[in-house]
Formats: sequence, structure tokens, C-alpha cells
Amino acid sequence: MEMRRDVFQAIADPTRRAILGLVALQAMTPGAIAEKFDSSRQTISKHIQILNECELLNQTQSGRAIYYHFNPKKMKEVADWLAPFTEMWEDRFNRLDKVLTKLKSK
Amino acid sequence: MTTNNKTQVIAEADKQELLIVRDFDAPRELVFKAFSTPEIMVQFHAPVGINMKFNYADYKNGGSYSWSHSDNDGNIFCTFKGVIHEIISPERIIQTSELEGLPEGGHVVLEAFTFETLPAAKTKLTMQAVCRSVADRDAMVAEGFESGLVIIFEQLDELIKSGLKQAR
Repeated sequence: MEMRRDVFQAIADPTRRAILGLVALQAMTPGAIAEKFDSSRQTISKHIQILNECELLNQTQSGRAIYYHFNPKKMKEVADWLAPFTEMWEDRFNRLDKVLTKLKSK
Repeated sequence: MTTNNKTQVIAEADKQELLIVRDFDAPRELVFKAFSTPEIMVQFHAPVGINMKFNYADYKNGGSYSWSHSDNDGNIFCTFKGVIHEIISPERIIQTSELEGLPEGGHVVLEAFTFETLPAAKTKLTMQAVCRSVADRDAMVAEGFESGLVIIFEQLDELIKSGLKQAR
């Protein structure tokens, strides 16, 4: 039976989320990713494979090394891509609200 | 104190610009001051747990600035620099902004902050950011996207939960 591999299934796993978190910051080789985990290299390799099949990773070849990078485009399909950016500013402005309240009372 | 003022981000597809709009329950002199005074900016600009430090700052016509975000151990996450093209208190600030340390330079952004007085001593801030390319604009949104992965995951948790419920 062929297993259904969709984005939701891929990110439901905490290890795969952690991998996405890592490669969101920088492109990494499978070896470098595996070093960050206690699990076996084989297990991590399997997780990477699933993420890759779901197109959550971009793959680039540099010499003999393969680098994986987070592919935000795929995430756009399942979540509002502006939401985190908006959230970042909302967060900033909420802090500013507090600062302004302090400044007003001076 | 929390307010009901919502942040609006407008980033149309295939455009080089984006707009950020937000109302504040404070007079515009104060809001203007917050975006042109380093001592105030460090109090709200960086996310919780991140420190903001100005490397230099001179908020005047033709002035310049540079700031960094770092963690408690002093590891620097990002440094932005720019020049102040025009600063008119308390109406607007026009400045450039560029993330330092990119493999390729020149990805500068033009930022225009406009402060409008609203009734009841409120202020509307409109920040227009104009990038040199659509790709630059999308990358700028993606920065928030990547640092906001946690938020996305929380949203997706909800989606997954509701999806699972529907599937049953």
C-alpha cells in the first residue's frame, strides 16, 4: 500500500518540525542535520526524505554534497504566508503600546 | 494594557512594495518620537529574549543609523544600517534600510513612515517599504516567515486538529 505523504503528515512529527526549523535558518547537509539529533543517521535520513517528498525542502548540489533548505513556497499553500510577518509586527507594536503608555504618564 | 488596534500588512503579489498600517492610542508626537529615538526603539523593536543595540544613530536629515539584534550571550543575529533621507517631526521619516552580511550587497529598502493624527489623540502609522525587486520584497516577508515558523506550526496544529475532526 502506498503511504499518503502530504504536508500535514510531514509536519505532524516533532522531529521533522525541528529539522524544518534548522534548515529554515540555513542550508544544511544531511550529515550536519543528523548531528543535531540523538536519533540515528538513518532515522533522520528517513525524516529528510519525507520532507523532501512533500516539497518542504529545496535541494542544492555543491560538489558532492547535497544541501537542504526550507521551501517556504510549499508552506504558503497551507498557511497564510503573510501571517507570521504580520504577527512579528503586531508583536512589536504591542510592546510599543506599553512603551507609549509609560511615556504618556510621564 | 492591551489595545484593540490591529496591524494590517498589505503585500500584493508581484509588487515591490509592502505596507504596514497600525493605529496607536497616543499623540503622533509620541509615536514619531518612538521611531526616531534609539533609547525608545530598543525597548520595543526586538522580539522577547533578543536585545537591540545601536551601533550608531543620528536621526536628522542626512543622518544615519545602524543597529543589531543579539541574544544574551552577545551572538549577533542581524545588523541593519541605513541613512535618513528626510525627517520631519512629527509627520514622517524617510530612510533606507539594508541587512548587512548578505552574500550580495545592494538589497536596500526604502522605508517611509507616515504619522497621521486621528480623533481622540490617536495616531495612524503607515510604513511603506519599497524594495528593488519583487524577489527582495518576498524575501523580506519570508524573513518574518522563517522566524515565525513557530506561529505557523501552531496555526497548522489547529488546522490538523480540525482536519482530523472532519475526516472522522
